[in-house]
Amino acid sequence: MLDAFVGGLVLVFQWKSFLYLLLGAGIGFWVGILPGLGGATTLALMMPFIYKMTPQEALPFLLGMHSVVQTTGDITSILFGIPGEATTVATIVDGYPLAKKGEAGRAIGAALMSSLIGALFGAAFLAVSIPVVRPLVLAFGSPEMLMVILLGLTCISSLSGQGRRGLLLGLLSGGIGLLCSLVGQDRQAGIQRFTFDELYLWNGLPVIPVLVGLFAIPEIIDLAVRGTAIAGNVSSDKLGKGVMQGVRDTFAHFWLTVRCSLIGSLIGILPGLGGGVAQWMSYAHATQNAKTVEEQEGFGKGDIRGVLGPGAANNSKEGAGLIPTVAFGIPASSGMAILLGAFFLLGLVPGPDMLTKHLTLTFSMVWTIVVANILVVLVSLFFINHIASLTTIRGKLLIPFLLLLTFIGAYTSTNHVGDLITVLLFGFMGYFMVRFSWPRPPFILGFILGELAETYLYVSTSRYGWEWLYRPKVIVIFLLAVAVAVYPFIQRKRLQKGESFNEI
Amino acid sequence: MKFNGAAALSIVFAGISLAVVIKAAGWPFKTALFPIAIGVPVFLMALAEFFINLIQKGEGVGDAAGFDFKLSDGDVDSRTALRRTIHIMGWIFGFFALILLIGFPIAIPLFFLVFYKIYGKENWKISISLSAFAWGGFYGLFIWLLNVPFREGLLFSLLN
Repeated sequence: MLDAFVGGLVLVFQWKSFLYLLLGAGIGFWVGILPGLGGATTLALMMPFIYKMTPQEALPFLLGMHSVVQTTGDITSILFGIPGEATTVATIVDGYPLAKKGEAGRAIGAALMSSLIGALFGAAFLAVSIPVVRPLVLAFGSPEMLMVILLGLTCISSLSGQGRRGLLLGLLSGGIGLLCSLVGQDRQAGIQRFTFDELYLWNGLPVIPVLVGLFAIPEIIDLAVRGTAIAGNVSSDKLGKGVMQGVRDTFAHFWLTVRCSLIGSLIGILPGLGGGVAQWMSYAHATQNAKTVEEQEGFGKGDIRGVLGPGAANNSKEGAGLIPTVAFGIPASSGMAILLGAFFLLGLVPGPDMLTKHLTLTFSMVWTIVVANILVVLVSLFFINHIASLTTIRGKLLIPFLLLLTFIGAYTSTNHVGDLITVLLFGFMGYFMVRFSWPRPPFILGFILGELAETYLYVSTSRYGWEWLYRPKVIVIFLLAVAVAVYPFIQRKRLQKGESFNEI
Repeated sequence: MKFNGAAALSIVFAGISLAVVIKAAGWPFKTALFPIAIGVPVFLMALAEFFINLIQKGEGVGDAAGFDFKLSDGDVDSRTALRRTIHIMGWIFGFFALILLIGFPIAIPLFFLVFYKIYGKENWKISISLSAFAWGGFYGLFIWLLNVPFREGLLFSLLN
């Protein structure tokens, strides 16, 4: 085992493998920064190039690229309020307000450092858990997976607003997200649902245009209304100074970062859930860290912990996502599904062989994630002052570029005119949601998980009738969801009690 | 009782969810299960939110506002904010229409130039150089390097 572990490291530093890793990480760096062009899409685009490569060259190239897109995706989310990746949306919630306050450097520093810790955690998780995790993954059937989705939705809904009204708006927003996921051909009977005879809608509404529209358009409108730069009138000297503060923030909240990395890893192993859930669950956990009502209300207005949580989780899930892919051939996300395709192209068969015959190669994947993330974080930290100074550019100069990124990002999703209509439609919907204080995060989660939730509901009902509702694990997860919904009320009461006690 | 924007948004979503449930009622069980299971609670919640909006005093959701992004309306007076919002929405829609009509490669430099000259009131030097930079970046990355297929505009399709 130890031999394979060290052998994996040696393999990564062989000159050809290392060169391919550098190339992959370089591509991943820019893919992460560009909105819309996702890690999974780029993995697919790179597939034709690996035909003539050996596994020792192709895996560092592909994995080096895929494991860093989340890291640099955070940068775009923080600077412009446009998600660099679908999995870096939660970083916007507190990262963008920090950029607006002139603390972009601090936010990016924190995002990069927490991403690095998350990636290292995920890699370590992958290394130690391969033999342990098998029973956990196999113990979760469709009913349990459905309940995990419900838990995720309840978690984000209850924490995205205050009190009963906030919970109502959160659940409503999540429900509308689920309804939007209904568009397209029904997977069970093949019936067209709300496609209006448009071929474009047969596969459902594409995720990227919906995400980009919902988040980018309201921010662009707001930038135009303010008439200033993103960072307001803050001088560019101040922006760069926060970088080390952001790094220090990560270590000041080290255990929060580690706990969010753990959340990311645990969700990362479960097939289908991926970064969409991990980022919001960890964000929700970060908000639970508030000690006073004021602190709790500070989330969404630029609390650094709101950057640390998602930053750590969306990177830690990458390493963990490899576990079911490598060990059982069950891809944990769309990116992993493409990587699985690459395995077959390279003549590797996921399963016991990867844990015995090819164990050195499996450990080289762990080291690839570690090395690629360390390199990208170091390079990003080196250039961070220049990157952060983008927020001092006048809004009027920046708006066309943001619109270009928004439309191009959406269009590259399926290269169809419908992408542009979708981005516009959901952009204006996002604006009205923000205008009337409807939380967008539950909508996103509902929309992303809707298809999966429907499949799990259908499989559960077909396989077990309504008896799946009485399965012990289902009841436990359901009770957990109820507890998650009730917890903010209890926490708020406790915080208010604590404050009135302090005042006395 | 006051019918405001928030109430309008709630009633729109209530209407959509009701339409989903009605439509789903005509589908086979396996297709209708999920839409009905989601549509009914969403309809009830949207209706509840609508009535809360109608009977509540004042605007907004007060303490219920969560951790999502907030608009910075407070920084400028409401009249200016509304005027600027309508203007920028017009520009966004204009860019969309331009892309649709003449395609990305021509729409990009044209939109940038017009936006900088009219909306940004920038001088020719900045307007032209930034438009060229945007077009160069777009062409270099998406057409030359990534080979993304961009459709020609509707106008050219009609002319051809």
